[in-house]
Amino acid sequence: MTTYSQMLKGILEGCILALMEHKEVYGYELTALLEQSGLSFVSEGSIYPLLLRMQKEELILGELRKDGASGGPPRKYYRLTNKGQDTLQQFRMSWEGLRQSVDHVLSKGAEGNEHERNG
Amino acid sequence: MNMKEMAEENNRLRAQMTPENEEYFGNMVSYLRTSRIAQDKAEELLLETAQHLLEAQQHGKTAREVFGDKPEQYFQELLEHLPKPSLGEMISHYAMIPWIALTWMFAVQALFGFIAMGLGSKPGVFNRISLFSVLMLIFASIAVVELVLRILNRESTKTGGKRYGFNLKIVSIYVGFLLVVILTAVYLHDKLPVLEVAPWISLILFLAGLAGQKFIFMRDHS
Repeated sequence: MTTYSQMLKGILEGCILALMEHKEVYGYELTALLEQSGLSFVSEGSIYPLLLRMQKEELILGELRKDGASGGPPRKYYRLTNKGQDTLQQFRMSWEGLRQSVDHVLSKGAEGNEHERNG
Repeated sequence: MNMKEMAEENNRLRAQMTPENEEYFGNMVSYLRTSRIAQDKAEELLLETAQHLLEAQQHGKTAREVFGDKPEQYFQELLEHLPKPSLGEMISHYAMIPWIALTWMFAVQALFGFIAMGLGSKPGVFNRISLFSVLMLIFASIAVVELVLRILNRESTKTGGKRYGFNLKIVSIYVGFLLVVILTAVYLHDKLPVLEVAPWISLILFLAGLAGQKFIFMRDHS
């Protein structure tokens, strides 16, 4: 796996944890929420191996039960565990640090280009 | 929801899929059900992905768009992350195969024994069971089931014209296994005892075997 795809998987994992922070979600709903958030690089099927791994690592908990609202057939709903909650907080801090660093580099680059044009 | 209910719900959902989606999903079902993984978790995942595919289908998407153009790679990725079967599940799997084979062996013994008695002759060969044939049946039944599972597993990742191809490696392994069985048979044939089993005892053993299948191996795991 390339560094780039590893990075994307890490980001995707953080986003999935964030989407489960306040509400339980099921697979299809999760892909729809990711798409609505503009994460179009995520292919729908790729969430299932990831959800399996996150369950194995005890970051999330999946439970098959009846859909309360529609009364339809059982669905598998996912929610965060305490470990998942901690991992989400770590992700938030790492992301904030990374975002500030990247913003800093990008703004310096933009300033340099500006100076070059003026000079 | 137990495994049987999940499988039934899965079949109901598959019936609503387009032929193209059903073929793709059917291969996924076949691949996961014939792999060495915790089957309850596999059924849960199959139910979940069937529901997902149906919702996507309603929005005009195909299974290839949802799960990718490389089914083999995708199924393997799922497999890697599914838990392995527990020791109990493995023991149950390997005990159930010869159990069923022996159950039906006793059914045949009982049936032909009673027919022979009805015709007024002695049950003869159907009155005797050699320990050797019992052992051979145990090994052969496990070998045949494993072979079929492996073939189904391989076939589920092939598409169109490539299906049902000849696989030299699998065939070689099983020809080798059969040779070992035959050589063992030649060596042990006269060395193991033959038991006298009356047809009505075979019938009782058959019924006990059937009850065992139902109550030991095919209990609902909720």
